[in-house]
Amino acid sequence: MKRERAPSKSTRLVLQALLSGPDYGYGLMKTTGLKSGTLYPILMRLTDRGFLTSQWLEPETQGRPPRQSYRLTGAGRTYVTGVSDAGPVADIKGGASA
Amino acid sequence: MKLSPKFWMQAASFISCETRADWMRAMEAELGAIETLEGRKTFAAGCFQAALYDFTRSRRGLSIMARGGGAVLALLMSGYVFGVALKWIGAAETAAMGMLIAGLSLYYAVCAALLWASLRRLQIFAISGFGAAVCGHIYFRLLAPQWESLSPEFLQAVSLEMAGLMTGFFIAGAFLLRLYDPKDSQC
Repeated sequence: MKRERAPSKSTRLVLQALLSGPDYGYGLMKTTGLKSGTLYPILMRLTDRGFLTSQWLEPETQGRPPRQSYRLTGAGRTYVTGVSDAGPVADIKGGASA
Repeated sequence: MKLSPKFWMQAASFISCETRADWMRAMEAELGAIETLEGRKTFAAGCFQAALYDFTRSRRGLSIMARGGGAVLALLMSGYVFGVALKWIGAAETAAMGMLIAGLSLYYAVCAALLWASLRRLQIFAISGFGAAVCGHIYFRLLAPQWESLSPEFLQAVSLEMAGLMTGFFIAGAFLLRLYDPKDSQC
């Protein structure tokens, strides 16, 4: 049976940030403290695995383009719960650890 | 030199697969939400880094890197062999051998072009590489000893080297063909 690799610290940060609700890419960067070069590959990978889903949302400010918001899917929630149970999730920038 | 956010985003779009177009649009939309220029630059450079990471892990990226690397190697080989051929053509007693080596350099140059053009065409390269190895070996074994200026031992050694090189190209070609998808737009 194939064993699943434990997610990296950065992936766990993203998962934990999304557990509290959907967010935009820039919002996730601010919450997790990750740079775009690290965050987007994680988002892509998690989306490819079916743990995340994205949605285009109209901006609050007029004249701005629609932005993509990311949220955990049911499978993603199950996964992040399993990950949290397996060990402590690293600190989120300015927040508490799980 | 400071590169603009637009440059980074364009570079990221350029290397991204078609299937990642939605991601690129999402990144561009996020870029518009960042207030400071410095922040936009850092964000855009990160987007390029993300696209590059994705590119190197995709079939398209691997295909391009394999083709590019192979083409550069074949081109370098072609240049080196051509240099050797020029030296040999210069001397009357080794001119015939030099002509043959010049032909070999042309073969490598064609290989480089084929590699760069498409991996699908590599099939010709792989087959011709094997064919050239066999022909070259037979040629040297049967005909080359007639050149009195060159010892049979030397010619045999050269022919074996040539056969080894060609077989190496054949194996590499077959390996690349088996591994990589020539459809570059796919990831």
